[in-house]
Amino acid sequence: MGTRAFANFLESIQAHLGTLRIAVGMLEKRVTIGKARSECGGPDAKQAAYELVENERELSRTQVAIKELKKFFVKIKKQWTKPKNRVIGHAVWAPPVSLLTAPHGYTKDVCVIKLDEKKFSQLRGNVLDLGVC
Amino acid sequence: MSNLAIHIPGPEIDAAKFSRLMYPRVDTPSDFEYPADRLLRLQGILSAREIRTPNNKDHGGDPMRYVIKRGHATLTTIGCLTGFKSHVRRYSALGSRDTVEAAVYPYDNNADNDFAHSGPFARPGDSGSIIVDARGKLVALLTGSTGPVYSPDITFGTPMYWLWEIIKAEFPGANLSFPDDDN
Repeated sequence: MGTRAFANFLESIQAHLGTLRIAVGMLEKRVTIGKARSECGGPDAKQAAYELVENERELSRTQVAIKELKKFFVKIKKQWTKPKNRVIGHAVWAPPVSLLTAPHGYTKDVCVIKLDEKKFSQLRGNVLDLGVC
Repeated sequence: MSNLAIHIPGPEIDAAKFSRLMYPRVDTPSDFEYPADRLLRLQGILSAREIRTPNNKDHGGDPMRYVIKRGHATLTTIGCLTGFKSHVRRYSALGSRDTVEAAVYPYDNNADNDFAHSGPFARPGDSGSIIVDARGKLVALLTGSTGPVYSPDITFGTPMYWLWEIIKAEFPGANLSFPDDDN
């Protein structure tokens, strides 16, 4: 990870924390209102009580997420800030880029990297991330 | 704290929609299975013959082979592999340069189709991504695209079956699979 990518990464964690903090603020408000509604009885009390449970659950989940994300941020900043610690391998073969490479004419733009085995202690093999949602 | 300075790249597609995009028709058997951990196992290389042969059908029932890539700029996207070799001429200050590439076109150019509405298969910054098929077979290494940055256009890549031979010539005995890949 280069310097800019690393800075962006740290910033993205901070941004995510910011979003979660806003969510906590809103959930706290909803919980307060929900408590009042469910206690005052009436036709909506049952629905309000149900929503209260949901919101309380979501609130505590979000609070845990913030705590964990803060820990993650500290860890990354401490262990990854030195550029040397972000090196995962070295290029061992990088032939010149060639277009119209014989015999089929394809582009040859390739490099082989020897990875540092210590950095891949939990290697899961070759996979493609289909994305988070 | 700055919350808004973050560049959010391409869309991330949820599992159900992803599966439907990979297999849009009920009358076509599916060989794509969305993994529970979201990580598609990569194994094997798509042969020249397979590249030329569609194994699926698109919305309209036409033969199709869908491919997937995950890149730095647009994250995970689905595209349509053409069975044709593309002869590409790139112009620059130094003159024109010709080459041959495997070509992928965007999932859906039709902006009216809200469900797919895929945007480009790749953008600058995605070069070097591996393009794979529904079963995780390696298809091509992404080299570049044509057209304006935000308009869906053709993406090019070097076929992996050919590139792997070149790497193997330099590193005899090279192997793409890991010992515990079969688990």
